[in-house]
Parts: sequence; structure tokens; C-alpha cells
Amino acid sequence: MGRKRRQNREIRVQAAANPDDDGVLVARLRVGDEQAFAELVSKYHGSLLRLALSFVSERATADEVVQETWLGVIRGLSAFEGRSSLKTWIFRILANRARTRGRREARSIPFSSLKDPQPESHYEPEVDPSRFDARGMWAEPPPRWTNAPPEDLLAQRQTMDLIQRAIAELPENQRAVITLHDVEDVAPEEICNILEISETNRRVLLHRARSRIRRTLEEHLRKK
Amino acid sequence: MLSCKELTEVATDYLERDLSWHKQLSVRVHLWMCGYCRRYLDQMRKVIALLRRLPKEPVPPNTVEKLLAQFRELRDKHA
Repeated sequence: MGRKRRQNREIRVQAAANPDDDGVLVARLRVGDEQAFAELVSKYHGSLLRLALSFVSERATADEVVQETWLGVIRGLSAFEGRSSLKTWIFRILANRARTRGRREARSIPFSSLKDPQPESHYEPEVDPSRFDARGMWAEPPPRWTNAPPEDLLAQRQTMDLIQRAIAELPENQRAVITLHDVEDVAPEEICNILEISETNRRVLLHRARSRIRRTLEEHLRKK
Repeated sequence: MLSCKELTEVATDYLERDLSWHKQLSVRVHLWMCGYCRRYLDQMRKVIALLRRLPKEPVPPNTVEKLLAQFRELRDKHA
């Protein structure tokens, strides 16, 4: 027991020196450091919940998926090899759980639709083609937006609701990509890894999602 | 020359610097001449800035405690 305690203390000293070092955190978790686990949960639980909501629409189901993810993390720690970052590894566990759940629930869109970013039914241009003239130049240009900084805009309940709703209304595959890329700031190659999609698909899906959200915000942020 | 419509199609690739050198340059030339497309791109940047600043989903009360109990249980089982 004394040896274990000493080991714990050494890991904690290392952790204080490198707070963002996955290796140190994983070492602490493997020796059963409760504080390390609590830190991990506080750090990622909100992100996991948001990501889960991009796969399943019910809040209760999302909560369950996150719960299962944490169990998967605890059980899988000994197998974590550090080939990806800890965050990517955890997100990947969640994506797998959510996919399994999606397959079980008939109402969910099959996740395989992720592999094909251009099914005819989903295709729509980034900007309504009628807004360009025959040469492809703006006929109806984008209106000016308010100059308010993002912080002020998000402080308005209405803007925040609008963005949340715009994300919720995206097709599932676009929602997962934009959540990871723009909301959670996950690196592009890690997104491909988590969602098992190609780099090209990731780019297409991200662009469609951003374009749609811009379109939703256009009316709201238009300068009066 | 690149049209406005084409610019809106490559906006994300331009912002993420995923375009070829040649294409990146043609976007720049277009932006230099077209105020509407500069506005369009600024709006895309604003969308990204807003998404980056969305507040975190709150962690429901007792979550950490409940998960810690499971962590402890699994740890002690394997100890």
C-alpha cells in the first residue's frame, strides 16, 4: 500500500508539471486515482453530451450513451495505447456507442449515411442559386449584419436559441462534423478518425453545415 | 475569373487553407474586387466565432459522484 501511495504521489507531481499531458493523466487513472477521474469527467462530460446529442435526438438517450461511454473508458483504460489523444479516444468510444444505439433504434437514420455526403435527398446548394445572376455574380447579395461581437450576440437568448436550433436541424452527419470541428475544436484528422469518414467527406459536410447556419442567421443578424 | 457563386462553394476550404495555391490566389483576387463576397466570408467567420463560443452543456448534478462510485467499484474489483 505504501508503495502504491508513493507511486501515486510521484504521478501527481508529474501531473502538476504537465497538466495537459495525456500520458500522465492516463497513468494516474490506471493506478485508480479518483481525483484524476473526477477531473476527466468535469473536463469532457459536457462535450460528450453535446456530441451524443448530434447522434441521438432524445436527451435521456444521450445521457445513457455518455454514461456507457464513461464505463467504456474505465474498462478500456488498460488498452489505451496513446496512438491518438485521450480526447479522441474517448470521443471515438462515444461515437461507437451512439452508432450501436442508432442501429438498435429504428427511428434513427442509419449512420452509414455518413459515408455518403451527397445523397440526392440531402443535396442542396450552399446559397440559393436564384441569388446569383447568369454569370454567377451576386444578384441578391448577402445583407449587412450587425457589428456586435460574438460574445454580445450569444448573450442574447434569441441568438443562442437560434444557433442551437440550427445545429439541431442539420442532417445528422453534418451535425456531428460541425460539433466536433467548430464547437469542440477537434483537429480535422481526428474527426475523420472518430467518425470514420474520409477527409473529402469531412470538408464537404463541414461546408454544408456552416453554410446552412449562416443562412439561418442571415435574417436574424441582418442590420435593421 | 472565379464567380461569386464559385466563391461561396469554396469558402470553407479557403478559410481552412485547404485550397491549392492557385485556387487560393484566385479567391484572394476575387475578394480584392468584390465587397459582397468579402461580406459573405466575414459572415462565415462570424458563424465559426459564434460556434466556438457556445457555452458548454452543463454537467447534471451528482454526475461526477455517480461515475466516481462506478470507477471505484470497477477499480476495486480488479485490485
